[in-house]
Amino acid sequence: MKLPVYCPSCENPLKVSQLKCDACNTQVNGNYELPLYLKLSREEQDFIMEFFLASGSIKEISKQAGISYPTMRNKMDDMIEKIKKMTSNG
Amino acid sequence: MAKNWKTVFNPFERYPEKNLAIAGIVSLLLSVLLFWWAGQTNDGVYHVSPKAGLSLAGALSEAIVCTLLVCGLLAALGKAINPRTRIIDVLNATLIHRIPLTIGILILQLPFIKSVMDQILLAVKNNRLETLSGSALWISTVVGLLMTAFLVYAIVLLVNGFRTAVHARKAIHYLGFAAALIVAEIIYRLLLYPQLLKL
Repeated sequence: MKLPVYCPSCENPLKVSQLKCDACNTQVNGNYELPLYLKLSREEQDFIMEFFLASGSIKEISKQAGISYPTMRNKMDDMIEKIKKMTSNG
Repeated sequence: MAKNWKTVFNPFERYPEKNLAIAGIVSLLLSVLLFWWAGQTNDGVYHVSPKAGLSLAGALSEAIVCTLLVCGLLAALGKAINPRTRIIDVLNATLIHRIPLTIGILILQLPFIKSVMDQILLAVKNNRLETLSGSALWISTVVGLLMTAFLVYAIVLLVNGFRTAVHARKAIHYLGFAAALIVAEIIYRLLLYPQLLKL
């Protein structure tokens, strides 16, 4: 199931208010920030995972995606910029 | 389908640099042979004129100098915009964008088009444009439009190749791109082509 990260009503970032242990049913309530990785879109999360699994090789990941090296590097630059903005804002 | 059209206008987004470099170098060499065979000289980066007795070495030098000049200026601009720009990506864009121009020159060598062009050149030389037949005017109009389309396609390829290589996003980047092409044309016509004529 896809984890929603933005409010479907007002589009603001969502926070975690409850966590539950499946084994003993303990519930923790609070107001927790989502980790940065989870604030990214599913596609961006998949991209980061693929990049990690390709040992951080842009060449390898671009080959897997069937796109050229500069296109993949540009995509990565856009994401780096987005993450930097997210960290500086938040 | 949309992806295929995108590839036609921006092959640099999809194909690996090695494939693009091979296609670009092969097309450059074929264009050298075509210019030599057809007796066409690159007297500008984007201008071609007939030149009788053009040597193979001359045609090769012109093609290499034109390509390296445009590539050098765009790569310098690219590095200034984005230090991670690779020269191979700019070189590929420069090489590949000349393919439509080469196809244009090849089409101009078709006997019926060549004959019409000769008629027009003769009429202009003798100041007797009224002697041109309707079919000659019609063919020259179609050829003119076709050549314009090839030139536009070549520039679109170069813009897309540059954008992909440099990750250009701002209007100032494209202004720099246009300025680099104008500077390339000026340097080639005023400084380099006169030297190439001595070869």
